[in-house]
Amino acid sequence: MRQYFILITKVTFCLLVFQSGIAKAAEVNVYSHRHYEADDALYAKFTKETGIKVNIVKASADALIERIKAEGKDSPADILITADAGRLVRAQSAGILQEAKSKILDKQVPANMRDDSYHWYGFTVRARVLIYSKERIKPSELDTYEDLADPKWKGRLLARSSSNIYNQSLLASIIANNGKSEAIKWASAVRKNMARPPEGSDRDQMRAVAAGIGDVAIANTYYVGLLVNSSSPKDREVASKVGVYFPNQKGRGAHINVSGGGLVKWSKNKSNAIKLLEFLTGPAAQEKFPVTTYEFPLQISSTDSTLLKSWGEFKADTLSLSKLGELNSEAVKAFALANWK
Amino acid sequence: MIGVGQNINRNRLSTSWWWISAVLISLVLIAPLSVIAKSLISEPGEGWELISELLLADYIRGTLIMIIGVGALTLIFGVGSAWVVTVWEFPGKKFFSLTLMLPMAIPTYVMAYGYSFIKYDVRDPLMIWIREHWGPEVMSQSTEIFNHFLAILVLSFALYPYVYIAARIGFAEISGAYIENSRLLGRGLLRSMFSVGIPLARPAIVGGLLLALLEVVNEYGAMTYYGIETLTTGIFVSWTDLGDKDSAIRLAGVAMVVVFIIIVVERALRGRAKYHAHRASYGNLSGPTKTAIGSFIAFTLCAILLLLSFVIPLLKLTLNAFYGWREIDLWGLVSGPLSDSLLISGIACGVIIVSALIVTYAKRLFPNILMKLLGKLCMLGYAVPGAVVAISVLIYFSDIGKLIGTSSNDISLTRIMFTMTPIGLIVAYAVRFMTPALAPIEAGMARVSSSMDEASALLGRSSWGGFFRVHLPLLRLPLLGALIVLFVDVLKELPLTLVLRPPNVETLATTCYGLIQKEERIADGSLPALILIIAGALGVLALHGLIRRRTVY
Repeated sequence: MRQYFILITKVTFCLLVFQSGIAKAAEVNVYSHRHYEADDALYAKFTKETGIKVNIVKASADALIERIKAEGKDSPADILITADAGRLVRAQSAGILQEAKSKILDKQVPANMRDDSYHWYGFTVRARVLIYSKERIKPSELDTYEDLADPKWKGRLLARSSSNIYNQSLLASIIANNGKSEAIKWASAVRKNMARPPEGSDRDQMRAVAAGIGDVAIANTYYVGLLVNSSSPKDREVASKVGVYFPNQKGRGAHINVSGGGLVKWSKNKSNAIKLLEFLTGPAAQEKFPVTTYEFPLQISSTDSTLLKSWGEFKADTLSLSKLGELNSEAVKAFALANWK
Repeated sequence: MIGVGQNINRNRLSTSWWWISAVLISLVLIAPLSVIAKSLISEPGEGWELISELLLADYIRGTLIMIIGVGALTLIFGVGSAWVVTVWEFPGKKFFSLTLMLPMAIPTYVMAYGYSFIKYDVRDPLMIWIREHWGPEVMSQSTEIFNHFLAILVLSFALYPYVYIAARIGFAEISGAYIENSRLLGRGLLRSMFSVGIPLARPAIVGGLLLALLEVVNEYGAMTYYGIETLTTGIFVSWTDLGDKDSAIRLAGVAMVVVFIIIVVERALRGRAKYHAHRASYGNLSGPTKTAIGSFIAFTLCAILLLLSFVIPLLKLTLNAFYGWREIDLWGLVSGPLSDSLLISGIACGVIIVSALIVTYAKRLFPNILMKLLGKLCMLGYAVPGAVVAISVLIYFSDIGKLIGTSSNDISLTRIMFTMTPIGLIVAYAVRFMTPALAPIEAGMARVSSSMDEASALLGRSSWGGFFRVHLPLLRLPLLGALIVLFVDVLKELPLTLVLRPPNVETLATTCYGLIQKEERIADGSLPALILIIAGALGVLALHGLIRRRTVY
């Protein structure tokens, strides 16, 4: 019976075979949350340098985590890549990652941007900042994230939905710094100061600032880069009307997060996978991110990108990013209690 | 009724084949959903308390508002336009009867992007004007209301063809004599629609409406785009934000209850009455040309609907796609995503249609509770968000894989189904999309009088004979209708495909999602979106051509 089963599946396999993760000599299978086409170019470069083929499944981090959990030891995945440390922590606590010990990785990735137990490593940095209208706001009027709770901002703030991980990690950092009840109060006050109910993407918030719906938006820096370099003249106009402000510079610094990857527990191409992580955190890739996706490199200030430099040097929060993951569910609850949908 | 005459033994054998395969198919399709049922019974996670206290009421309210709004509009657009092109002779009638189906080739999230200019160019200035007159509070509230209206409108543009196609098929099967009688009795065409057309075509129309409403319950992309909270957006909140898969699956359970209610209401609306309209004279359906003013009105209504639901979003996408100079990798799109999409959709459609036929016919041969229940349960997958279906299928089959064990390290059930081949993806499509196949086939079969089966059996035909000689020919219209809906549905499918596609497989939907939604590279994403729409539209046109050639009308 079993032989028949195998025979049948083999025949079906031959009929339906796709160019997919069939075990080949040198390859690495990546499950990635990142949708950027620029990443594909990096993988191509990696293949050219090492001869290791990169196979990719792109989907949301949560779906990929579930997929790896369900596939278990049959999972073809070698690396899980997410756009946020919180998701990596979640994957780690789901038990689907393993240690990827590598001296090169330890050297290339700053300590607060990787897991203490070597389960995951960041490879790009993003800062969540205040985007303001150059027409109506002077940078001197802005101060801290906490200041956004002030009633003077009533009807003037813009932010996307709390279901977005970037907002959750920002609130997690506020919980870590100010405590849970302060964080709920903050989220509730900011929600009341919003010009409209949360909707759309970070870029939509900037568009609304440019259009005059509100004066200040919470958004990630690289989205400004994407607008500046957009093929749409409307988006470029939006970019010209908004300014970037790094908050909390006198205190803990602006909130940052990483996009990173972890070695999957059942990886069958472990050394190839570690090579890819080393490549992504290494100089060749680090040079590329600021100019293709406008993300900061791991060494934030070491970039030649004129755009990133034009935003000025800034102080980044040194909170360990693992903490963001640990506090993620607290943050989600706080948002729900604050009625920030 | 079965096995009349001397062929009793042969018939028994052949009929038991039907129910055995129907049961097997149903089990494969229903079993993965048991994963959902299991977590419904289990102890709720800590996230559930939060959701049920703070969020659930809003989710249900949002879902109901959208169901009612889109339901009403799709009925008006779909039934109204179907009636006009069926009974009215006016210039452009043929053109409209064909093209009014096309908006269904546009995925809802692409439709939302096609209409994004309303958000920025119409709504935002309007809202600023409102703020100047009534203050920021009113602006915030008006934004919310405006978003709901816009979402209802955009979804209705994308979904009315489900009702339109169903109503066309329903109307086409009504003998022209009924309408002529109604008109001889002095009723205008509009009144005839309410007194003759709608009652006689009701099973088909309600079936189409059911599909549209299930799409609404399941909608994710457009809802988040407009900031509307529904049960489905809630599923993603609890799954991805709270990391509480069990609560997500519970919400999916609530969504399934909503859908179950819709199905029950549909059954009630379909009524006990069975209309077996005579199909004597297809040819007489259209009335003679009416007044010039009447034709003008008919033309204008159809033109406006087509313009809003298809031409404008398509134009917008075309403008986006060819905006500015840049390298366009057309061949890459055709050889990769397009061929993957067509191949996978084609296989999936075949599998689903055959399964639906077997299940429906078995239910007709054995109209017992078990068969009816299985038939209904097969429809549940349509109520479950694609991502949840994906995870359920994955968990279910990897559990089975663990039971079977592996013969070697490289070959295992999970790897074969989900990594090496798209078999798992196709099974998941079947779990998710049985309804668009079952609903029209059931409605079609219900219209075949049971005296036909009896006559066939009396003439000594086996159930196979009855199936191939009686039902298949009579089912041609509903079958092709189902195929259109199915093909386009699978082609557009996104969340399930994202999760379950084998490595390196990109469909048109995943490509344009990645570019438009994730990267907001509208210009780059518009091209795969256009190809997706054109592929869907060509499919619709080709199948429609088949319908026309094969039928008399």
